[in-house]
Amino acid sequence: MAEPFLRVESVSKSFPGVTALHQVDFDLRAGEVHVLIGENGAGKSTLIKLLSGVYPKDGGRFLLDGQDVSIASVRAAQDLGVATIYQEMNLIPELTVAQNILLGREPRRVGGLLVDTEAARRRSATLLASLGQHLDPDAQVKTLSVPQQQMVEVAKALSMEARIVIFDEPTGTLAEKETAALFATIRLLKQQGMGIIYISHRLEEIREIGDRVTVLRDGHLIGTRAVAEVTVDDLIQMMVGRELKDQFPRHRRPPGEVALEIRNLSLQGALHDVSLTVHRGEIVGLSGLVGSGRTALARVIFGIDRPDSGEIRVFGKPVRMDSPLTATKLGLAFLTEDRKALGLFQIRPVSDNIILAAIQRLFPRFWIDAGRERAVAQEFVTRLRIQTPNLSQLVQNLSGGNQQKVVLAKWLATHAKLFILDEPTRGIDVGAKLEIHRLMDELVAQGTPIVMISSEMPEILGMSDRIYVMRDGRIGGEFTHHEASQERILKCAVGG
Amino acid sequence: MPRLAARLASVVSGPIIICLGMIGVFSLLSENFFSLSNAVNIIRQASVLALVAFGQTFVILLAGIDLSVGAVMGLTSCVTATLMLKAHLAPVLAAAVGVGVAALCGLVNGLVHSFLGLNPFVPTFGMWGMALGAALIITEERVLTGFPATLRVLHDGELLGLPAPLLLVAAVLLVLHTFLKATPQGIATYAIGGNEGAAHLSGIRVRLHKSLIYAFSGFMAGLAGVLFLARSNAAQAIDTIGYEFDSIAAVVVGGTSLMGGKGGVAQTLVGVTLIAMLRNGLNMVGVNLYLQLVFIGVVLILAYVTENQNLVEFLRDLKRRLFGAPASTEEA
Repeated sequence: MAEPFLRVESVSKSFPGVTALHQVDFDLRAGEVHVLIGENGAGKSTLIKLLSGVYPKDGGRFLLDGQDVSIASVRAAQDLGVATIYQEMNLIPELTVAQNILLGREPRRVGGLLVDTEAARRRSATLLASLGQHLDPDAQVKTLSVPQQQMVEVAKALSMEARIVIFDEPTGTLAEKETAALFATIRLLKQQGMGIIYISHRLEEIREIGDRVTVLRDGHLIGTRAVAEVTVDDLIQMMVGRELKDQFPRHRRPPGEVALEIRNLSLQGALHDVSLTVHRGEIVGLSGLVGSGRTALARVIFGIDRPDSGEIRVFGKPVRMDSPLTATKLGLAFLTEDRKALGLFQIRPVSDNIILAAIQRLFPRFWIDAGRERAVAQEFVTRLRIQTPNLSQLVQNLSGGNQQKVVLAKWLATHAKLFILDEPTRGIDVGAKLEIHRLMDELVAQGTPIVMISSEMPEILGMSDRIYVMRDGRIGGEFTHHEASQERILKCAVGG
Repeated sequence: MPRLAARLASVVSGPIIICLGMIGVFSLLSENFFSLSNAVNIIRQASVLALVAFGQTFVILLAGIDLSVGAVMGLTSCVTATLMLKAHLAPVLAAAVGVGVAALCGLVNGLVHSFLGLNPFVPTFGMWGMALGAALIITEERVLTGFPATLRVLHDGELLGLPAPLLLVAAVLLVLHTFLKATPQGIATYAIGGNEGAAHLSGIRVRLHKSLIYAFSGFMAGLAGVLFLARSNAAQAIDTIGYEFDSIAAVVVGGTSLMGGKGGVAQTLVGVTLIAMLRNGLNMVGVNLYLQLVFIGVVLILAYVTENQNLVEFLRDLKRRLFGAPASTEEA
């Protein structure tokens, strides 16, 4: 087999507070599809962003044909022949197919002054035809379907005379037939001698399209194998790795009556026939990959998005969950995964943030009693051990863990009867994590049920009484605390 | 519907219909409105706004805004007039310096906006104050008059029977339209406004490009300032204040999206014509000045509401809203 023409040697990258990649080695041969897999946050995206010049690397080397290359900018990456097809759309909807394909590299005429529109049109049509596509080069991109847009992106990569084409989870939004068409295209690129880096969450795809597979975990290289020599179970084992110790403060109790019941909930493009039950005194974990529908489900339960069909019952009563206001009136609380943007008022003091959602309960008359506000806020600061110099400290000056406690305090102050926590401990330190887990245990001990969305496997396994695993907008499986294991959940989430 | 009619209906936007409607109404109410001499008059009045609004169009295509143009126009005319009066510079040279100053103001806006990452509102509003202040200082708050009349040819001149401002605006429009539609930099302008991140990932030098577009907006404000000077034959710092809003209104009414990435200078010309015709018509009909403001406000909002719909869709939509929805509702 051909020698690798791209070598990534001992490359590292840190962001404030996290080491995203730690001395990772990787290589790519001409004419192969090298699949990159790993759990959420394993470092796959960081690696491809370094290769495509979006971020500079902190350490290590990139060798292209044996030459040390620095990939300092997006343009530099393109000049070296690296083209990346990102997960999120990177086309300009208002421009035409031809304009998008050749954006920044248009053929010129009149001494380089004007775009040679005719040549651009011909070249785009030729590139698309080589992919078996017959799109109108003058069509606006916004009028195309998602798979057609993806083909425009591939044509754009071809137009750069790329030697390395990186696909970042390209099948996430495609139907089965469209995926088959994409794979045919990838095989075509392979035959032309390009090296393909293919990132995927779907383990079953790897066999179909991949030649070699590299597994990353927590920013470390776990290993590179020939696809023919590994099983899906091997890969899951490599992705999961560590054994988990029981480091979670849970006191398990028998569940009480039904608190939340969801029947056959569907939302166009996001949820398909989802049913689940939550009992009093129970933490229900929602697991699954990013984009599997966990947050979409939480948003529907909280009345942010309205379902197309299905039924929601809260404490036995069927409800029409039409707005977050309705949800809060029924006693629901929702801690969003993006606490910075959606959970907190960064430039307001701690005390204001704590009482904000409960203003109507605490101050039923028009005016706000400053003394009472402080007393209530102080009570929560003490109870949750929020570390702040005083109550008038602005929330933006607190650490992530303490900010998350303020969000929790805000909803506790409303006397909510059911909590939905989306990634409750993401990005916060171990100590604060433990305290938030303790608080969750306290809450369920008082009978308040919790629905917890988490991408962290240990948290799902350690905290939940029952676990639902979501996959492609459906409930892929349900496990009790005893039945659940990392392998089982992951298998269920990726459909292996 | 026959194809030709459908095609025609699809380009006839709300603002164009409003323009046609206004021509009808004003012609009925004032016998002088529908005349060649008044048309020439409107064109002369509209030309200054057209130039500054063309520059504003580029900025708004980037999803930006330039609030400084009114004050920068004033600064240009004051600098030009001062150079002619005090330094006895040739009018053309004086005007060139004036326009250069304006372009520099725009460049500063662009650099501060794109390299310091400030919302364009801040540097351009700051520049509004700086340019106005500078113009007041160099004119010592007076109206400058009594300089050579050479520049007047820009406003009063004629070529082959056509008024000079019309030829100037037409030439500028042609160049700018070609730039936007047919050059790599033009496409990059739409790309940045449409999806800045994607433009960056396509290898376009986004910050440099944005800076130059703001400089260009300053340059166009400078040209407009010189034309304004040619018309009024007097320079005063505060005379052109208000053009920042008129130019934004003309761009938006014409159909360029404030969200960027969509629109163009030809659309802006429609917006400019609408505003100029409205002002002129209300004057001819004898509507009092304050009531004019009310009318203009109403018409601008109306034009904006209807800008992105073609006639057929608009009527269909109106019918749906007024008489209830047809069968295609979500819940059966």
